[in-house]
Amino acid sequence: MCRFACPVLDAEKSESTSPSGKMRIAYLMETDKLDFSRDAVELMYKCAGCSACQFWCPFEFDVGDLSLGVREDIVDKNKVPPAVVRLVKDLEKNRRLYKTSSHVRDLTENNPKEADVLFFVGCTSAAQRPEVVNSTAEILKRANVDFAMISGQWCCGAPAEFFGFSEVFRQFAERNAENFEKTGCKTVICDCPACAYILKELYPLKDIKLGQEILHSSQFFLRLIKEGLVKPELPDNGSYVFHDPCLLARKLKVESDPREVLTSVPGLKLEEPRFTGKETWCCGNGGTLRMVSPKTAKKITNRRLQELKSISNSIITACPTCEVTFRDAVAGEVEVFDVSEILLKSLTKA
Amino acid sequence: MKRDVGGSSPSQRRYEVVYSRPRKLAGEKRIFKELSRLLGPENVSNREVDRISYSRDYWLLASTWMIKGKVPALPDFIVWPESTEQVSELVKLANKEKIPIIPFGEGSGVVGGTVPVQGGIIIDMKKMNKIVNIDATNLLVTVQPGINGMTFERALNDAGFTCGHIPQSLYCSTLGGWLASRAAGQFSTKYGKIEDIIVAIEAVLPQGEIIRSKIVPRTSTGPMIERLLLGSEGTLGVITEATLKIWPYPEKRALRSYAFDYLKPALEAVRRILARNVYPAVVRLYDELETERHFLEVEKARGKCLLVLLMEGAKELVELEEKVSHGMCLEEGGIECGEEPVQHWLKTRFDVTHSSIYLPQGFVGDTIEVAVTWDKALNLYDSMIKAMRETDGVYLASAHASHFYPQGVCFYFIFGGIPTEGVKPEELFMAVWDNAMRACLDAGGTISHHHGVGLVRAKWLKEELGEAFNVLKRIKKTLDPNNIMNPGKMGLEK
Repeated sequence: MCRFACPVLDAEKSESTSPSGKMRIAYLMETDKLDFSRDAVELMYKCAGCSACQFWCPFEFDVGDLSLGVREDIVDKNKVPPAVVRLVKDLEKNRRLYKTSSHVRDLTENNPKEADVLFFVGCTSAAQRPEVVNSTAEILKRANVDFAMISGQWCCGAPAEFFGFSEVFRQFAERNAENFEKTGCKTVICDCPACAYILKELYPLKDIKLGQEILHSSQFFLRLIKEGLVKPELPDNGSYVFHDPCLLARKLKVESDPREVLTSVPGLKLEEPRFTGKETWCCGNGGTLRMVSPKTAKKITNRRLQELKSISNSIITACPTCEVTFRDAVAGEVEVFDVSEILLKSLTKA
Repeated sequence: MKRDVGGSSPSQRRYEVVYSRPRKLAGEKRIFKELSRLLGPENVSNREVDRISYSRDYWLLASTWMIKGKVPALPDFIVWPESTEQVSELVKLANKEKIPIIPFGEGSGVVGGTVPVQGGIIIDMKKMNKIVNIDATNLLVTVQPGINGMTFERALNDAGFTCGHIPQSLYCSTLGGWLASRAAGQFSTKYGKIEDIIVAIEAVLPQGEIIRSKIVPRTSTGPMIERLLLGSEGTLGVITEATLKIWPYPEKRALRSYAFDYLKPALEAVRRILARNVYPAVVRLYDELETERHFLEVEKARGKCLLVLLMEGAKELVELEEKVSHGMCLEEGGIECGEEPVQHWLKTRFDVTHSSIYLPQGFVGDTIEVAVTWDKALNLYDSMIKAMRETDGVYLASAHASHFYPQGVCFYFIFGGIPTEGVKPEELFMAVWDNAMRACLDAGGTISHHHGVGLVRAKWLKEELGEAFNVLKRIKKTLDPNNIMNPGKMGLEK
């Protein structure tokens, strides 16, 4: 049943890229019946990591998760595509996937370094969506939340883990765990669902157990609203369509929180696409897909955008990567907002 | 088995190919180039990973081989046409090169129908997946064959309709596959099999001719030529577009279930319901073993046979169907078991996990669906169960009836076993099939109701069709003189 929901198969139409197709090739590779050829290796990375297959699988198999072990073997056999090697080397060197914008760097520098709450800024928002960092920080300030940010913060390590570089991932995980301890925080808020998933679910699998509560920002915003610490009062008469980020809806099982935040804004009309909630459709930029098959990633983006645009040209989501992907694909045609931006607009000035 | 030596880098191959070929394909590079010219290079592959991926369907024997690291058969190329004209050009090229072509949807068939036993070109139809038109006035939909079943049904539902064809493979099969195998859906007692739902077809015949039947409700203009394609399993052409009936999305659904002491009164209840011209959409009757397996928690059905009914459509009609069905079931001794068993069936109806659980553990099993008229139904059921159970190594043989007609019933048998010492899994598999087919034919049934012939039933088709089999062979030879269309299937070459 999973093949019905696999965005990669939907885009490529090749049986090899179906969840079961990839696993059959992986089985032959891992039983030494098939070489780790360039085609076979590339196939192991042709996954959006969206977990749609897991949602539909009666055994709850997640082909993205199952592929991680194969990718580790690809690394061990030194068969990793050169572009991926470069990406991981750059990550090791820069500690970030992309160069952090000066605005976010300044914001971080001027923020306290110790507090009960830590705002963990994802690589994409730090570099390409500083508005999300800004609006999230501003909401926390309006709610009088004392929060820390980490100067020179490291990436959560997701790219290293997803590409099979488990030892590199461990370095990032250990460093982040140390940094969290230094801030004395009890709660970590992530503006990126991938960071939240990695910190919450994958660090423990590497025996790195964080003592902090890990939340996606939309979960924390809802908490602030329920506790009366922020009050969305200014009306927004816009009509929006909501796009669930895959990792948020399926891996972290957070579906209602961002919706509750948004519908607490007076006047805001929120509509749903056909593929919504746990049935959401990848934005095209998930997992390891784009590195090995940018054309396929683009097709997935276009399919999702087509669906969203049929409902509204104003899209709200809760993942900076989805936001950047949509914006890049149709510059100017649609407006794409983060939950934090919509919420901030509805708050009266401090 | 001989090692396959065709295709790329055979010297590095460390897996066995079950249907092997002794020689490398002549002119491989030239054909690849020509295919790329016809379809564009992005629509052609001869990569090893793709050839392996298209080596199989969901035939359980093929799955057993894959678990052992064996590849059933390797195609030479995989292509993804995007238009009828491209399919036609492909077919012409295949004739010129005398290379097999095998149409492919999503590979959910269970009889080996798409296994490329003689190599050749797999024509994956998934890029021809558009809904051309939903016609609300005439209650018709025109659609390309590569569309995924669930995507198709959802699009119709969004527009306020249903196709009424909901096979267990809905999420992993295509319209083209349904037509090529004369499939049946779970709601077939009301809506019919796919051959009852189809109105018109466009197809490419084996020498590249494109035929289109008119989109009309009925016609009296000679034999129904296009209907040759239905159930042809890719041996007589490639279906490239179809127009099907649609129905307004059901206004109401009613769920009912009844327990009967034996199959006989339950079958009689259904026969009488249908004889009154009342058609519940879903009618499923489980024998004692299957009732225990699927509905253990239904206390009233313990040790009995459970009948599941689902009526749907216009409110008034559903209420009438419910009333008539209820009366007939009670008259035949049925005990009401409520909605819950039907809800349970609705929740689990797409679950096909059993084979994935048991095959890796060394079990051999399969499903066999046949059909028979009412007067022979019980005898056929008893004979086939006996034939399967008496095969050495078989531990389990059971059945449910899942598609009903005023004239008779389809039984869906399930068997499972472990090979006895010295017996290969394939040998047990085929022994059960042989015994079941023999018993079916002797009891007056048809050897397949909706899965088709493929490889597994190939040797039985001649006996099934009698003299008509020779006619079919002559038709095949006339339409496909080079025998390029899915060769090696349905026993047409012997």
